[in-house]
Amino acid sequence: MKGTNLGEFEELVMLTVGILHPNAYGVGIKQEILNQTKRKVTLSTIHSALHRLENKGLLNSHFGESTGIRGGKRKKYFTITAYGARCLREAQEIRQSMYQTIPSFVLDQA
Amino acid sequence: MSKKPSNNRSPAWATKFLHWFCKGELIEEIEGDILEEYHEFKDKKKRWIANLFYIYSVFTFLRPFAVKKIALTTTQNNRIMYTNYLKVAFRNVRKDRVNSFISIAGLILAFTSSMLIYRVVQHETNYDTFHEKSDQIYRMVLEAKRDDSWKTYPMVGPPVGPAIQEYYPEIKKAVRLRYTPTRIFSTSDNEKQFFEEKIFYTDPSIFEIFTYPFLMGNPNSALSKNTNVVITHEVAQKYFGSADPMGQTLLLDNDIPFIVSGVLAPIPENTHFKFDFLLPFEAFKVPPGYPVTLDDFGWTSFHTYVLLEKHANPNSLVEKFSDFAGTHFDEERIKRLKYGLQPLRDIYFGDVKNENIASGNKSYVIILSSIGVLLLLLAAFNFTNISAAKSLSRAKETGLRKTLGSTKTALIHRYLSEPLIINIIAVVLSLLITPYLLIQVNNIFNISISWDRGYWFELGAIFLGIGIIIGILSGLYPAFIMSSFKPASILRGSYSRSKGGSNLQKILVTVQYAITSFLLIGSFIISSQVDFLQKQNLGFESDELLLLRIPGEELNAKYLTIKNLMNSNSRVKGISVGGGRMDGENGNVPIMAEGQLEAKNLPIDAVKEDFFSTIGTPVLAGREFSFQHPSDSIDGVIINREAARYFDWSPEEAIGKKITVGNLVDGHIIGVVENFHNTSLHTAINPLVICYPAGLLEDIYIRVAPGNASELIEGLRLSWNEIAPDIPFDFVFMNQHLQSLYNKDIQFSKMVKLFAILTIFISILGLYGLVSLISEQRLKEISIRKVFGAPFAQLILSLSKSFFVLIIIANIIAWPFAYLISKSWISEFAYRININLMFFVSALMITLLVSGITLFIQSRKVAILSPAKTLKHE
Repeated sequence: MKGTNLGEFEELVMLTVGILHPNAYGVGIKQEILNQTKRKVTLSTIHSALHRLENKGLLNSHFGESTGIRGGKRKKYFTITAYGARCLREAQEIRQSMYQTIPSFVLDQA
Repeated sequence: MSKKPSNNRSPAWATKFLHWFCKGELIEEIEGDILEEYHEFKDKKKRWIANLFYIYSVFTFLRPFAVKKIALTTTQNNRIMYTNYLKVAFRNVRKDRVNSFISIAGLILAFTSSMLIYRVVQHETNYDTFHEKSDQIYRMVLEAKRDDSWKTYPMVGPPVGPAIQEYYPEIKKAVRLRYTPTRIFSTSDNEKQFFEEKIFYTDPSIFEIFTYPFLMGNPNSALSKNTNVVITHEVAQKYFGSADPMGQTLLLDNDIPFIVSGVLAPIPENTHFKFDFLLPFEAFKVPPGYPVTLDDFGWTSFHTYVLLEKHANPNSLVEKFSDFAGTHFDEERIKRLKYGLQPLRDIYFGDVKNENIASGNKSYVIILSSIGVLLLLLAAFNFTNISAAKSLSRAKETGLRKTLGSTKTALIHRYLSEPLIINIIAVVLSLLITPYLLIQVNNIFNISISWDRGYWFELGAIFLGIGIIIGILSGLYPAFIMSSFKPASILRGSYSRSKGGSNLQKILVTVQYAITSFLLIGSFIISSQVDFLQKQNLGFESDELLLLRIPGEELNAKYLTIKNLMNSNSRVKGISVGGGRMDGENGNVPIMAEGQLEAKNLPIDAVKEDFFSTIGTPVLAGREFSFQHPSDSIDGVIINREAARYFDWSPEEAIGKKITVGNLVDGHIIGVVENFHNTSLHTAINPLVICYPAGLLEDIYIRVAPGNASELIEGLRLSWNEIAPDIPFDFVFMNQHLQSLYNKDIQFSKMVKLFAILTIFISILGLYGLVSLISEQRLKEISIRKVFGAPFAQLILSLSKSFFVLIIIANIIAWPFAYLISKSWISEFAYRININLMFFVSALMITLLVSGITLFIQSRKVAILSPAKTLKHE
């Protein structure tokens, strides 16, 4: 992957992982995204994004406790790495600075 | 996987599937998450929905990040060897591009053609099989004894259907259909108005017997009221566009309102009777002037179909039919008439023809399927020849492999892999091309054969099988020959073509050319026969003859007005009325002529004044019906030349002879006309007796002067609208109409021609490849000949001589087969061409010429090479 560019959905997942810290795992992230953005996404989409982000070094993961409802399977918790936090901040700053250079009347028409 | 808590009852197979494809390191979190969601879902929704959702979730994980790498990670020797075979095979395919292309192209041509033929044949042989109960449905037929032979009629009397259903418990249901030609339907506001041809009055049981799914409406009540009408989807769109057709009114003949109570889903193309409108049988009224009632068993004009009980035996039922016939026919008639049953699936290819019923020709289907098989054979031979010739150039590779310890089996596998790959590639490509070609074929031949996804699998399975068989067979010969060579002698370079190998090659080339010539001769004969039919002298002038069809009552009432108006157009040269469009079977009536001892059944026809001058048939003696002799319309009879011959009179003698035509006319002969074809040319000219019409006729014949047709038609249409604004102007040119009688023959002849051209092409491709390989192998020999001073022509001859001999032998082998088979096909026609030597010689010339060019091009390449270069080679 070139640079630290985050995809729109990747950024969304990163933010959610941050919100849920330190209890971010697959189903929880899906719920939170639904609550925050009303977007219905499939589990596989979330998992695929999580693994991509982990491979880029933006997320860390570790196994947690197992519960009966999960058929004895452990949850995998994701946390944001220092590098991940920097990327997120950079993305946020770039957006902010670009947002501010939009002439105000363009935004006002909405 | 551990069977854990009791509330974990997600579909086990989906879990197994997940374990099968998912990467080991991801499985725990993924399965855990899916299960968690599943349980949450299960509490809120029904179980099966949750299960479905679980399965769906599993499938969504079929993504690159989660799926195991399926690679050949094992280090087994065999695996590596087979991958190597594949690799070498692909390399060979790419290295020898020309020959690989020829092989694949030849195979694709053959595969696509046979796939198309397969679909065409499948379409033809599956008429009416879409009805769910098609094996229990039979058509009632009436067999009548005429002279000494029995003739079968596809229709019975109107009371037969209901009565026979009561009479025999084996008959579950019966339905009557009454065909009604040419009526006008219009919307209630008269916005849309059309002439309709396919109208049937029928019983509601039609929907219980046949499978006609409804788009709208209820099959049980759709025909229950006698003001209802059921229409097809196409008709609904034609009259109502996108508006809701249900409950709308359609006017029949601008008079009787019918309310649309049902719309049928599109009906498959391959059904023997096609309809657009179904009207309730109760709405049917006996046309005025018919001397019959709906209780008359003798009025045999009703198609009647019965649905038998599941295990009923139709044969034993037919044997009992004489009891039923006894309830309404007297003894005398039972001797001449009997009922029978014809299975629904046999109707399409059956002998009983009828104008509103589609019929097929079994011999066309058989010939087409044989062509398909021959094409495949041809491609297989081609392929075998090329791969056998090519394998020689791979002798060194074989020697090396053997030295390095390859076993015989391994070598055989190696030689089979290449033809298999080529065949599989060819099948896959053909499968991709075929649906597209089918559209073209439909356009070219004016047919409508459907294609849906199911055919991928069906054709894919069949043709992959065929491809694999061809691949194995064509690889077997080189595989066994090469694997038995001694490595030492191969590597020393002293291998040679085995005697057996070149014999096999010769046989294959001969058979291939025999097939090609056979198809060529066949296509020549078929297309000249079809041309001959179209150019046959019909006994009347079919060019510039216009046909107008209007309902009989209208014609009767308005004929004189129409005639005067049409005559005022300067381009109209003549106008009259005939009893049909020169396309149907005529009714037979007992004719008693002067000097005869008993009445003979002969075909009759009816025409009005000036008919023969209008259609251009010469009157040999006497006169035709004319306005100058009004009394002729009461007692005048015209016969054709064949009838005069039948009664043993010369045309002049015939004039004035007394003649009785059934109970229609009791009069005398006023004229004899030249023979003319009033039926299709599949049947010969019969004696014909022509009277002045007593009943209603509906076909106006108009002779027009040559010139701009559309201008003329516009002129006629304008005059038409003045006199009959409520009747559509429904015209057709006679020659176009006659053309439609031979559509099947024309289509067939075109198809055979196309496939014959394809076979030449495939043969030439094969020859091209073969010669290129052989001349390469004989490179040294040719060079040495050249060094010793052989002239160019001699070199070419030495390379191509043996092929010419084979081609001539092949042609001579093909001749008797071609002769016998074309002869039997051609005997189906009443008017046929002579099969002469020209067809055979021209096939020989064409094969020789085209092969000669190919041979020349290929051998020239070798013959012009400098011997210094080629001999230096080793």
